[in-house]
Amino acid sequence: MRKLVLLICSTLLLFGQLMAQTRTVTGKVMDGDGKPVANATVMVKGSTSGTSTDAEGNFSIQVPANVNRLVVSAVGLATSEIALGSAATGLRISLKQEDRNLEEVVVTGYTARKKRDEAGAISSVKGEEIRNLPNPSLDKALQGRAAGVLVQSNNGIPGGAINVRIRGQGSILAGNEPLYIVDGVQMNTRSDANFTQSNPLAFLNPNDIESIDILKDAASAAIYGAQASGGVVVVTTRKGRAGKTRFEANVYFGQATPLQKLDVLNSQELFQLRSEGYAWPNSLAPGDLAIKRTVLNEFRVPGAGAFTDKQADSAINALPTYDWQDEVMRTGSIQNYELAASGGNDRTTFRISGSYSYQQAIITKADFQRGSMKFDMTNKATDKLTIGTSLNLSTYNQELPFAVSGSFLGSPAFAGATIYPFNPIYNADGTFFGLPPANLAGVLNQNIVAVNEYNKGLNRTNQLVGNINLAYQIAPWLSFRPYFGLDYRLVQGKQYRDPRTPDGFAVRGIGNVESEWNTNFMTSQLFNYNFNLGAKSKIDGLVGYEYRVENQEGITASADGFPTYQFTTLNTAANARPPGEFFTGYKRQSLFGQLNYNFDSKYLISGTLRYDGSSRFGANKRYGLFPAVKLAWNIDNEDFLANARAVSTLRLRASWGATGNDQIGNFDGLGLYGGGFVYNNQPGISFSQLANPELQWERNQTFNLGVDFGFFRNRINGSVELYNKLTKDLLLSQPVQLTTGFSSITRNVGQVTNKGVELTLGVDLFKPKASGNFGWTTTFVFTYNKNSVKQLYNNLQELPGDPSIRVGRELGSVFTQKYAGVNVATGRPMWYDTLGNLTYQVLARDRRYIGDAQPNYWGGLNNTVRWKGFSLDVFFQYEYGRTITDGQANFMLENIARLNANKEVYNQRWTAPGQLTYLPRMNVNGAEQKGSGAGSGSRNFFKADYIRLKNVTLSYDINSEVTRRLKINNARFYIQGTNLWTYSDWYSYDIEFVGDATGIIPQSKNFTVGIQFQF
Amino acid sequence: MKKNIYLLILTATLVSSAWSCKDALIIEPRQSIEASTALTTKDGISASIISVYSRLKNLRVYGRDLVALPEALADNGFATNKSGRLLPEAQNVVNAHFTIGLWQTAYSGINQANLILEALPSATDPTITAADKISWEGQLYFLRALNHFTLVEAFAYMPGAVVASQNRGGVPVMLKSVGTSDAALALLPSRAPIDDVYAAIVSDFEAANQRLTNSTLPNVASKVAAQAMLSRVNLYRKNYTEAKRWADSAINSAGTRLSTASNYVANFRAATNPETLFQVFFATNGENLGVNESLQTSFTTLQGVGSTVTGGFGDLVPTISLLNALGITLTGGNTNAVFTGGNASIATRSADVRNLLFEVGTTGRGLSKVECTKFIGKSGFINLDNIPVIRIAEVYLNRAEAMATPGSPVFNETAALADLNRIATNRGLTSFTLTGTALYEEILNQRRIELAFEGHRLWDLKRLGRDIVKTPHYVNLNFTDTRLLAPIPQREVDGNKNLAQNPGY
Repeated sequence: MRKLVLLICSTLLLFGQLMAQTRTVTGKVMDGDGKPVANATVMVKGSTSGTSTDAEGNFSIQVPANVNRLVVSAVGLATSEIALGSAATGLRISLKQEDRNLEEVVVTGYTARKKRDEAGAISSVKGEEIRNLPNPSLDKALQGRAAGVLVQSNNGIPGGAINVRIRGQGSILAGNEPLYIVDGVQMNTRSDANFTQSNPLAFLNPNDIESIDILKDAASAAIYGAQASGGVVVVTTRKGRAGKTRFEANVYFGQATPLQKLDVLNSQELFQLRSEGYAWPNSLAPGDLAIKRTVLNEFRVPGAGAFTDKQADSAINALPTYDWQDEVMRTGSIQNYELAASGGNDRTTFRISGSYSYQQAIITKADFQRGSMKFDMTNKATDKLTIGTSLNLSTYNQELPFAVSGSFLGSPAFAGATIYPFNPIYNADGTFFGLPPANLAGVLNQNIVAVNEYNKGLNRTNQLVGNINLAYQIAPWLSFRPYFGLDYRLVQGKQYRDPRTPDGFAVRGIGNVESEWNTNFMTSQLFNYNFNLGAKSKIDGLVGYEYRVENQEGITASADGFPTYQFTTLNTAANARPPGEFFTGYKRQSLFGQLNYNFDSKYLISGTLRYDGSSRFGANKRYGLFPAVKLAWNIDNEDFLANARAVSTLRLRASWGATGNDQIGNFDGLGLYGGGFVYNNQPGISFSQLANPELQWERNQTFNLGVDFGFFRNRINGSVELYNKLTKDLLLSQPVQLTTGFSSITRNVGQVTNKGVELTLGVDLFKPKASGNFGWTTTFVFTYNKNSVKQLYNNLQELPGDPSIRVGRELGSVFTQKYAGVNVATGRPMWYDTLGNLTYQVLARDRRYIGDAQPNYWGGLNNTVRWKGFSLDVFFQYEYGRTITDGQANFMLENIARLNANKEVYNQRWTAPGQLTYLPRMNVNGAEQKGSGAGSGSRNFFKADYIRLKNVTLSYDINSEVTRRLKINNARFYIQGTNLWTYSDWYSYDIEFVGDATGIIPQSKNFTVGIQFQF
Repeated sequence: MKKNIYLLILTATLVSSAWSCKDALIIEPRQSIEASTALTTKDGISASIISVYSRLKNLRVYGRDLVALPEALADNGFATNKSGRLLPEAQNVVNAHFTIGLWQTAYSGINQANLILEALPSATDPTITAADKISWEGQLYFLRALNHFTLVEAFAYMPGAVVASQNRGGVPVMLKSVGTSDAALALLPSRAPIDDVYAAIVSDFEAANQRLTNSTLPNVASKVAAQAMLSRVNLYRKNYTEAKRWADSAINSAGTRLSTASNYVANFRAATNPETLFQVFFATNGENLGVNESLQTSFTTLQGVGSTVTGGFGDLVPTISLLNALGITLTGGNTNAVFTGGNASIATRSADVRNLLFEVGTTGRGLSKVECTKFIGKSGFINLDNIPVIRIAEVYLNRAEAMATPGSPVFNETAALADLNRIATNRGLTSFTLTGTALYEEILNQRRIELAFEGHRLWDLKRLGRDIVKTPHYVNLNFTDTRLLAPIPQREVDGNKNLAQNPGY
């Protein structure tokens, strides 16, 4: 009741103020360098009225006579309160630069905190750092910018999958993906498309991002408990600010060009290799007439069977060479258009943005086309209640080539380089050569250009990611925040195998369609509290409940027998094929709390506890507890450093925490009979999975030690982190003897550790004395990570059936026979056997550790140079220590010449006794008699170290009389290039890939130009 | 303040009720069912038996390997390298052999059969009749025997033809089900002696014979199929008396099914060959094994009967020695040892109608070869063919061999010759008049021709301890060569000290 009285009184008071007389205050807002600040917000303290500055930093505001303070704020500058004296016109207000590092706010999960108050290992990437990079999804943009975060492209499909690992790989069976949270919505990052890769994070226009905070240590991530073992990536999007409505327009366009074309053979070189391939195993000379006839016959030279030597030679010389790569590659176009409006008053703020983006891959016909709309609104309904919403609607279409990867005859990136080059692409009349019933010579007998042109495929993803959030101030120290989030996704794919192409020819066309929808709903109910315990101690924290449910369903249908190639819809087809349907889902619920104690901003201590339940685990082990503790000592706040000039920032942090991993199949713990069998026109079922009621979380414990430093007024700044991450109760498909009728049981066994060092170092090499002077900042990011399998089960040193997982080695070890080169006398490939002797035939027992597929060191180097309106960003990334094999290269380094080969084969193959080389003699059979295939063992594994000039941006801020007259506050013109230069020697399209590179759509070299306005 | 307290109480109530709700974390799969409920109904049991049959279609079982590999590994098949498939097998490269796929699929079929056999006595669904149970048991014993048989053929020596120093036994015999994680983790079986495996197989086929009746279609197990398999298994284990006895029964049960010279080709072109006693059946195109590895694409480039359009790869074609046995002479092709520089063309054919199933393929994937067209999309779609497991012709040859093998307790050259000539005269050949070794060898030769490209050749050489003559195509493979036996899957050996790997791996 007392409160109500107070409320009435204060309302009356306010009313009284509004009735009072006003005066006009004018002034100019500048930054620390004396440069005018446009769009700064100037508010009358204690009231709802305010204004914003113009392009010159000038403002004019009506202030009640009885008020004598203004509050002035602007982006990137410290908020300041100005006392109004008697002279209230022509004020010159100077806002200080915000401290670049530690005054930053980090979003630590359910709350945002000052970085100085935070004791965990958190990397932040600001929206500006990744703005306008031509990446369809935000994960790609993190590459090289945050220490400890490894980002690898699976391929170059625009909107395709990206591989992100935070502090190494901890899990074998379960996923290692971080948890992505976009404005509180916990995203599901599974690619649901069957016909291509579709990255669910591509729904968001990366230019709508305000900041990305990466919770790396388990103590920070533990607030997300069982989902957090891969780390947590918290994405905050841009929101509106009070003030005049501001518009922002941004356009860029450009092109994508191939990083490299593969160096392949001409028809005569290929003929030579193929001839040798027949000659050596049959003890003939490569120039033997019978061999020439045979190969010419294979090459489909008419009448070759009866050629004389002379005729054969002239036929060989006459073989044409066509460039198939040119036909499947293209210069891709890149376009991006955005418009945003934001503003509001002290009660309501909003931001609306829309974007359209289009990007073509360099391989026909892969592309990516996205339209997105985003709406954010916050309203102070009452003094106590704030309501807000954030909605993102987007749709993206991906046109598909015949295949996006693999050694398919119709896979453009694979076959374009490997088709026999004497095959013509077009007939004389311009139509495609070799369409069915005819075909091309060689194993790759499909005209890939026609296949790619005629076959159709489209993948469309419609996605809604949104939330409704409320905050109710129960008491000054306590607020209640209900939150409801939804991530809804519909993926629709369509694929058509044209009846004019080999796959569709015999059945007159095949059509496939699929729809998958995914509903991911969550709610959290939070109580936030904070109070002061006396003058120096503060306590804050939260208590909450969360529930998340996700359902995924899908249907597929297909048919064949289309009347003509123009008909592509299933209802026009003659024969329906069996349809498909599936459902899966899971549920989680959790209770959690956090308590932070801060003494005099010197000593911080923080504890987290989360109790998590997941439907994915065994009936007996559904719930798990995840604790964490963090400590920090802000040494620079101690008196003894108060006068230390050199040391401007020094903080020591330590944390320990536990997180879990439940990224396994939704029903892995159940004993199941599954379907999918057919015989004699009847459906069958079978015992498909053994129950494991004891199945539980994989647990991750990380100890983290961190130092933040800044010297000489933070001109040298950065942080060092040391971590030791132990993953135990590993979720593992533990193999059982196949004689049981089962192959594995999902169990919790084994341990993996990741130990590492992360360094972020920023140096202001030249600090501008005044605005517009020359400035140069450089930031170096370095990560070292050592991954090691500590233990499996039953004292096994190797996982049965998977030698890449072995105790004492990294996950993804290469365990195979060591290649010993070529026998100088015979040209046969050799390997080392278990005793170190040479052998022609490799056996399982000869295998040894060669290397591993995980990088040991990686990171990036960014340089920013500013001068007057110019700004130049040069960004390198690097990776060291991977040993990998590239499927595309392997096919092209064969000694068979059944495909067109890499020039390396022609240059390095063994051709005569006494020749010392590393590539064996040609042999059409691949393997020599009583020998292993030439590509066996370690022969095709290579070190994949590289340095890449990932990105260069040159921009110019136009602040001319013209723009001012046009009422444009800020105009910026920029030129950008990606993947401009790479230091590596790699036989295949691109060194930057994960998995098997066969026929993948490679990344491209991109150039874009753009312009950005604010008005 | 009161309002706030209400709010707190309300939230606390909602959260605690949500938390304690039993369904909060329950979500049921929909494509699968709880294992304990599966074998309680009639439909559940019969659907489970269907899955045991269905596994036979797997490419690593009868779908391809059990038909193509015995030809490639032995002396019938020459690999064309058109897709590269089957080339390592034809060259007998180490590890290019039967794979983990056969091991895994066969044992999972065996376990599923065991689970059902053990559930049957307690199945209480009132719609299940006694006759249902007997028929189901018969089929399951048949399938369990067939799976054990394919395993022991591939991974072990055969009875009476063993290199003692390299013999590591047969294969694990699984006669009890595994249904729990604990049982699966505890099971570390060893290889049973070869003779014990064959005894278990015979016992299962005999149990099947007792329970099964003769069905009109060879798509499921039947009495005659069990009898025919018993003649083969007993011949393989050199129990000639039993081989003859079961061949007699099978021939008696089968009636007149043997094709004649005039309808041999037509019968072979039918989706189901009337000679077939048991086949792996492909009912719809949804079961198609596809363009890469089906038997049609493995054996021929031809898209269909009478078509000249290029369909498959034609990866494995007959060797010169098989073509000679078939009575085909060439003017070119089929070997990489002799460069005539041209496509295959057939110069002459003998009167043996069986060689009509060997035709010149297309040039669509390189030089044409003479190819086997026993599998050519006979079920109405490209790459869709039923796969015969046993035909009546083989049963006659089993009986002939049982009676012509020197030292056989049922040695009877006259009767053996009669069986041989029954095959020969129905295949367009004139009658033989042979005795002794010549008769015995001709029976083996006719077996090679009759069953060519049906997955028999390796077993017939291996069970007799014969070297494999692969010249002029490849290097010969002697009987004592360790590459004769398939490697036990590495993961099985790695995880189980009781399981001995075959030598040479």
